[in-house]
Amino acid sequence: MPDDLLGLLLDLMRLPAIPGREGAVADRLETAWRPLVDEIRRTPAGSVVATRHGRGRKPRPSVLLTAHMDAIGLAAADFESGFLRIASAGHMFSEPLVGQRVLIHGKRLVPGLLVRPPDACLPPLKEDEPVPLGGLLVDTGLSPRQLQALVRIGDPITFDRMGTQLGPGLIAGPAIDNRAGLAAITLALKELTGGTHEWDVVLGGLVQEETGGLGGRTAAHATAPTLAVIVDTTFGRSHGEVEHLTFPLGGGPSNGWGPAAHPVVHERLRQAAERLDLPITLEPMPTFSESDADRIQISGSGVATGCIFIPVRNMHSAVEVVDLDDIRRTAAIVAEFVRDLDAEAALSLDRG
Amino acid sequence: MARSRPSRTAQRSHLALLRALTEASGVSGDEGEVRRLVREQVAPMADDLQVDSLGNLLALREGRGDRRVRVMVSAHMDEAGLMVTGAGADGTLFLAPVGGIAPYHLLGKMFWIGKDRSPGVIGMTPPHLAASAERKALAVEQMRMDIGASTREQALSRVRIGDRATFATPLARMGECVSAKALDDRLGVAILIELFECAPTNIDLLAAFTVQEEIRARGAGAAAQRLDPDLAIAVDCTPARDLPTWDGSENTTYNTHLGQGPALYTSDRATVSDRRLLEHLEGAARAARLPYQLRQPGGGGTDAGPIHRARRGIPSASVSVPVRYPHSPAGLIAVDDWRNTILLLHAALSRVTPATLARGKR
Repeated sequence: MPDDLLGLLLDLMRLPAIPGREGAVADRLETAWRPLVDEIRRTPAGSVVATRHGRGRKPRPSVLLTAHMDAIGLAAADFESGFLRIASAGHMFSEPLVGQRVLIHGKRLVPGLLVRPPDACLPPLKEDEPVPLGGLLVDTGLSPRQLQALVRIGDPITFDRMGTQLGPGLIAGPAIDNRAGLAAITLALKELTGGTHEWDVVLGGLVQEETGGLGGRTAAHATAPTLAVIVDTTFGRSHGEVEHLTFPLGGGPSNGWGPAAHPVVHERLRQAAERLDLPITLEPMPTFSESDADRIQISGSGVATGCIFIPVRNMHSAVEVVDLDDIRRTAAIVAEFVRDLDAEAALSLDRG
Repeated sequence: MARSRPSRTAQRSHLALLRALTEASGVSGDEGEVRRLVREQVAPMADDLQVDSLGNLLALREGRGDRRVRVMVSAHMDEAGLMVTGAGADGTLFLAPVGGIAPYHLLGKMFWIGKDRSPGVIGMTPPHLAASAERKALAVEQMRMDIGASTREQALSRVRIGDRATFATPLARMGECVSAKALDDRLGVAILIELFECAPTNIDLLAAFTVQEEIRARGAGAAAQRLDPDLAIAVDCTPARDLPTWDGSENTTYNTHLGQGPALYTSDRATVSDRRLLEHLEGAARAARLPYQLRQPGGGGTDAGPIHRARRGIPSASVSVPVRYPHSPAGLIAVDDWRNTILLLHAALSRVTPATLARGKR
């Protein structure tokens, strides 16, 4: 059955959303979710929260399905004789940035080029030492005066690169972390509208995950869910990566295990995958999940959390790679997990 | 075909040609796609056209009258890039550089591979998994191209060992500039095509679209040998390293400045420009009120290297368009520099007479 996942994912990847400036992606999600839910709103922090009522008796428990809307990016930090210095929004290295086409979201869209100045213009570096991010410049081809008329300090800078099909079923491009997760919860919602579910389902498109997790902190408070499943990305295996820390593309999502995951939620997610005969891999999270689960779990009086992560290669670069089937599997597992939630399920969350 | 003067501004057709030329793949030794584009453009006007065994495309446009000087103008069709040298069991491709490309330019970029332009990416370890202290610069030979294949067989059903790969960069306008891959030297190729279209009639114009410049200028010598010109000008691109320094000190190694006009060479590592030609170019620029700059002498080389050593020695000089970030995913040129280069070349060739190379002026 065609699910238009490709179209949705490419559309989401095209939209800019550095942390704190997620409006364009939020609008797109509202368009996708509105016909399928009973209520939809924005939180004061900017997250999109949509509720689809379950069939169960009131007061119904609720399950929050989240994915963050923001992606790593840059911001204009200073004018430097016709060039821009940059600040990073999110965790990244300088090498994959050098030579990238970017868009500066100023008074209008200004195309630019991220460049590494010649060695003679840089502080002395050890041989093969990478350039610090602050050493890079953006060249727009504009005069200093033109540039300052269009761009202000703090304006977002995003990669100017469309998603590209990389062989059958694989997509490469920027911001797959975490547009893949948003696409997955959207597919799960669509699947749930085709049947019935007891619990209320709350979808959360969250802000500012890459810079500290404002969306996670606040969305859980705003929705007070019984439990939450956080859909995000994990390290896809590519050539030369450490095997035990990475997950093969096409091998299904990982299911986080550790302090940030409730053991019952973890187990129910595993069982959901098993019922569908879909692959799912345990991902050890010895301390933190490095996702919104870390905030959502301890919000309010505590939330039972589960972590489902989609493998993505080259995370935090302009050429992240994802397998569309992994997104579909994630959606199917999450939908099956939700369908299986009944009145008993809420009680099973008590830790004996 | 009517001969006219080159226009001061970049017309839509000029940009369309530059787009086609820069987006074509032409890694050294594999210039066929570029050569076909060049042939389409110059064949209708050429009085003679041949392709030699190396792949140099040589086109003659005859002038009128006698005492015509035979002027060779060269621009190289090839670009620095990559060759696929194998496929691993995990479906990723092994690579080797062709020409000078800094390995850091490859990480996190997208590429076009082979005749079908199959997409591929060179990834890198995410920052979360590589403490910055352990970050090591990778050599090209240690990198892998990811084409979304998961086995060697799958990979080799999509690309072939020996295929060339280039940066996947479409041309874009940026302010008063143009950004594209392979501006070095497709911009020179575009300029030479335009010069051929409006060739001055006082000379025989011998246009040489050369191969293998990026791997020690191996193509142009054979072209000069065959064409036997009286003098030669290599049209190329040269780095504009005119960026601000980290500590605000003066940048004294800029090589050239973007936007300050065509760069004339006094000397580089391969050639000392013929003094008479250099003065002729400067005189033409002054007479036509065109800006120009002298490239800082030092490293680098152009097709003038092998050309001026050909036969009994051919008086040669180089004229380059300043380009920022050559041999990277995307370079940048000023449209004014492009137009002023074609205007200067046209003005200079229009004034060439046998007296240009008169003895004693040297």
